[in-house]
Amino acid sequence: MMKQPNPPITKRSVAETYQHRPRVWIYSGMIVAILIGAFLYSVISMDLQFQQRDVWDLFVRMFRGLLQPNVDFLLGRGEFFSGENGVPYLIMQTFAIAFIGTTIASILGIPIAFLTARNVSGKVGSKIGEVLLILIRTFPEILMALILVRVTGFGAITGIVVIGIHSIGMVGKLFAESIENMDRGPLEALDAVGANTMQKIRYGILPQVLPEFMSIALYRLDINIRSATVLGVVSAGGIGANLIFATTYWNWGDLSSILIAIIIMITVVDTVSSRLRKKLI
Amino acid sequence: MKHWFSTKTFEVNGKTIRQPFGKVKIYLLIFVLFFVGSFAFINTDQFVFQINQLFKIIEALFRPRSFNDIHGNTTYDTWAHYFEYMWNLRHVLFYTIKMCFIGTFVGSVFAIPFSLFCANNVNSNHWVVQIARAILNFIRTIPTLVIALIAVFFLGLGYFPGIIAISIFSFSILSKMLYEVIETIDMGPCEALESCGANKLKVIKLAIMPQIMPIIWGYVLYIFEINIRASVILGYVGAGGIGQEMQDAMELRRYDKVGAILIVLMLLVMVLQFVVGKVRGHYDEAA
Repeated sequence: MMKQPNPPITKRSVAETYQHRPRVWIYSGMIVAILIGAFLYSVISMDLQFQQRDVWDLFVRMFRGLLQPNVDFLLGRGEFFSGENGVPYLIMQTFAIAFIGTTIASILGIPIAFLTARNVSGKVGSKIGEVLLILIRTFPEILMALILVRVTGFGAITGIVVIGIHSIGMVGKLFAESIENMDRGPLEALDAVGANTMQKIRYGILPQVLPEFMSIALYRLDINIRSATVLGVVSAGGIGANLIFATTYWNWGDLSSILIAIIIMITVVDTVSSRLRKKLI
Repeated sequence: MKHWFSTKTFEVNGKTIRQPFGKVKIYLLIFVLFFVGSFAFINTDQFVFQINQLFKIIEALFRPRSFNDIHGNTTYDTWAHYFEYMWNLRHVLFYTIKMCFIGTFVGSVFAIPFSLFCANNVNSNHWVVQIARAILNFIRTIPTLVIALIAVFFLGLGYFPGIIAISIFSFSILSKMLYEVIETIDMGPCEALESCGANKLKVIKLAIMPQIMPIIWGYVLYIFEINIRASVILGYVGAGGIGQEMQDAMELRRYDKVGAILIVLMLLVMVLQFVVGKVRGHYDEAA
C-alpha cells in the first residue's frame, strides 16, 4: 500500500467537513453495478426456459403427499418389518457410514497432518502434504463413490471407504493448522525434566491438540451425515437409494417419511455435537 | 478390569492425595461401543474387493480412449483428442459458472436481510427469531439433491432447476453463517447511532454493514466454491452443467472424457480455493 500524504490542515466547520466526506458510494455503486450487470448478462445469455406444466396442480399433489407420510415405512413395521428395508434401519446405516467413515478419516488424517504441519516436518514435507490434501479435497465425492463402487461392490462398505478417504482432505488441513498453533513451551519443559519421546507426545502434544482434533472431527461428522444421505444415489449404502427412488417416482408418502427421519437424525446429531464441542473448547 | 475404574492414592508428606477420577476412560468406552455397534448396520452381502479394477479405471481416466480391433490389438486415441475435448469443455464450464453465479447471487441477496432478521441483537423479538431459525434449519436438512430433484420435477430438465436448488442451498447456509457473525459484532456503534436518534435502517447501514461486509465477501466466495463442487452432483439428476456432461460420459463408459472433465473441474476448484484463501486472508489481516 502506498502511504497517503497527509491532507493539508485547514480549519473547517463541521458542515464543510461533512460536505467533503469520502465518496464511498461511488466505489460501492460501481461494485453493485458490475454484479448486477453480470447477473443480468448471465440470466439473459443462459436462455432459461422451462417446460410449461400444470405446476399448481403438481404442487398441490406433492404437498398433500408430503403431509401423509408412509407410517409403516417410517416406523419399520408391517411389510417393512423384516430387517433391511424400513427407514429406522436405513437411517441408522446412514449414521453408521458417516460415523465410521469420520473415525477412519480422523485416524488416517493425523499422520498426514503431522506431515503437513510446518513446525514438525519442515518446508518440503509440508508442501508434499499440502498438495496431497488438496488433491484429496478437490476430487468430487460422488465421482469417487462411482469409481469405488466398482472396486468394493455395492453397499455400505463403499460408503465408508468414500467418506473415509474424502474427509481426510479437510480434516487433515484443519488438524495441521491446529498443530501449527501448538505451544512449544510444554515440550521444552518436558525436555528439561528428561522426558523421552513417547512421554513428550503423551504429556506435551496430545493434551494440547486432542480437544481441537475431536472438535474438528465432530464438525466433519455433521458434514458427513449430510453427504452420507446422498451417497446412496450411486448405491454406496445408506438411505440415499430409497430417497432418489421415492423422488423420481413421485412417491411423496415415502419421500415424506425419509425426510422426517433425515431431519430428526440431523437435528439430533447437530445438537449433540454442538454440546460436545462447547464442552471441549 | 477393576483397576480401570479405581483411582490411585498417594502418600505425600503424611497426607493422602487421591488422583482425580478421569472421565476419559468412560468416554472412550462409550465411543468404542458406538463404533462397534455401528457395524451392526453395515451390510456386507455385496462386498467384493477388486483392487485391479481401481487401477483399470484410473488408467482409463487419464489416458486417451482405447480401441480393440478385430485382431485383438489395442490402439489408443491420440493425446490431441484428449486435450481437444478438454478445450471444448470451456462452453459448458462457462455455463456452469454462470449457473453457480446466478444461484449464489440470488441466495446471497435474500440471505443478507434474512440473516439480519435472524440475529438476536438486531431483532429483539425472541419468538420470531426462533421461528425463523427453525425454518432455516429445516431447509438446511433437506439435501440439495432432493431440492434439485423436486425442481426438475416442476420445471423440467435444464439449468433452471439447478439454479433454483443452488439458490435455496446458498440462502440457507449463508443466512446461518451470517447471523452467527452478526451476533458477535461490536454493538458500540449501534448504541451510539441509536442515542443520536437513528432509526433501525440507519443503524444497519452505518453500524452493522461496515462490520460484516468483509466477512460477507469471504463467505460468498466460499459458498460459490461449494456450489461449483456441488454442480457435479446436480448434473446427476439432470440439472445441467458440467455434472450433466460427466454423467453422460459415465453412462457411455467414456472414462477418458470423465477424466478430462475431472482435471478441468479440479483445476477450477483449486483456483477458486486459492482466491478464497487470498480474499479471506486479506480481510483477516485487515480486521
